[in-house]
Amino acid sequence: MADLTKKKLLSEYPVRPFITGDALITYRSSASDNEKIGRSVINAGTAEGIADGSDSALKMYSDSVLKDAVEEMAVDAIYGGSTLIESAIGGTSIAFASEPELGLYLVELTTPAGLGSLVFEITGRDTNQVIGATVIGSDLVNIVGVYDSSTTTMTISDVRSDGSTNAVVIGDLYRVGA
Amino acid sequence: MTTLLNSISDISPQPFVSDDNALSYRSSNEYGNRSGFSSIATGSSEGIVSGESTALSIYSDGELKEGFRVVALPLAYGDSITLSGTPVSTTYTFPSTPTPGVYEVVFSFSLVSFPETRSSFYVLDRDNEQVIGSVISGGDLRIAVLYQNTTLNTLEFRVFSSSGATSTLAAISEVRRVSA
Repeated sequence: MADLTKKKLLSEYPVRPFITGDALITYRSSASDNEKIGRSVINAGTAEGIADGSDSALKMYSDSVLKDAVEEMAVDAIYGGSTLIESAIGGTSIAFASEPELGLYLVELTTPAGLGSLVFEITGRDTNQVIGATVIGSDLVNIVGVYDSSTTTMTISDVRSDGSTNAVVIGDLYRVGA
Repeated sequence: MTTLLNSISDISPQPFVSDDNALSYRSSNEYGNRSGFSSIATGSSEGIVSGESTALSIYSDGELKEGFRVVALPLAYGDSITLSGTPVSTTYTFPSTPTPGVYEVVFSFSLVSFPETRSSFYVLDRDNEQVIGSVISGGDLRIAVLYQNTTLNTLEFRVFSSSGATSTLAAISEVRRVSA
């Protein structure tokens, strides 16, 4: 049993690393007088918890857990999965309502058909990207996307080796990343 | 002059710094021996990159951001490894459903060499086409694309020509995964 009769200096108490399950003596300034001492448990966070992301409790983490979490999530956050943003857009342009998240997007064209999803990248700056190619009739077709950051609009064109520029019809738009 | 503290609220809180020890207790301790002090480690970006320590730590936003950045970049663009899939002419079959990320393809085209015969591309979760290069040969503009088929787990290499032809004189020899 601890000797409670002897007063100790703070420096006489042993100190050890904080571990999960330790409760801290705390007080809350908004509490009423004489009710200001309490104990707060700070739980250890896990890589799985970070990946889940649903818990809003304040936690402490270790280097190991944080590294694991980044390793589990980073590549998937950029390249994993795709989410439908808008379907059957029509026309030749995608007008984003506001500055879109930077990263990869997939767009499907109704015209020309049969190309599968085409990948373009929003970098936040004006860009010109060749996002697809095919042969139609006897012409080489390049599908070109031009992003205007001032209007947050991606305009897609069908540029052919016969010198013509043809209108595309945009179908579904997906955001890449989990 | 020293004055007595009448209320704990007289103690002004300050941000926690690395030399601070926290007054702590464990409910599992025996009666009368429940108080102690815990040192709380200060995490660093170097520690996160190392990932070895399991000590619970407090981090600053700056250390977390730098740690995450340094850990994340090599995951997206790390050393590539060759996959054991099967290339047959223009089509490569992945050994299993590929994880999304950055990959490399090594290809050849018998009509003319591209400036480089290796190109990066993304593996995504929907069928997609990506332009990986273009070259002029014999008066024609030739454009190389990859088509990822997520149902068949295949990658098809296609070369379209301004003459209107789709060439089959191309081959994939190797696919490498770049993202960890």
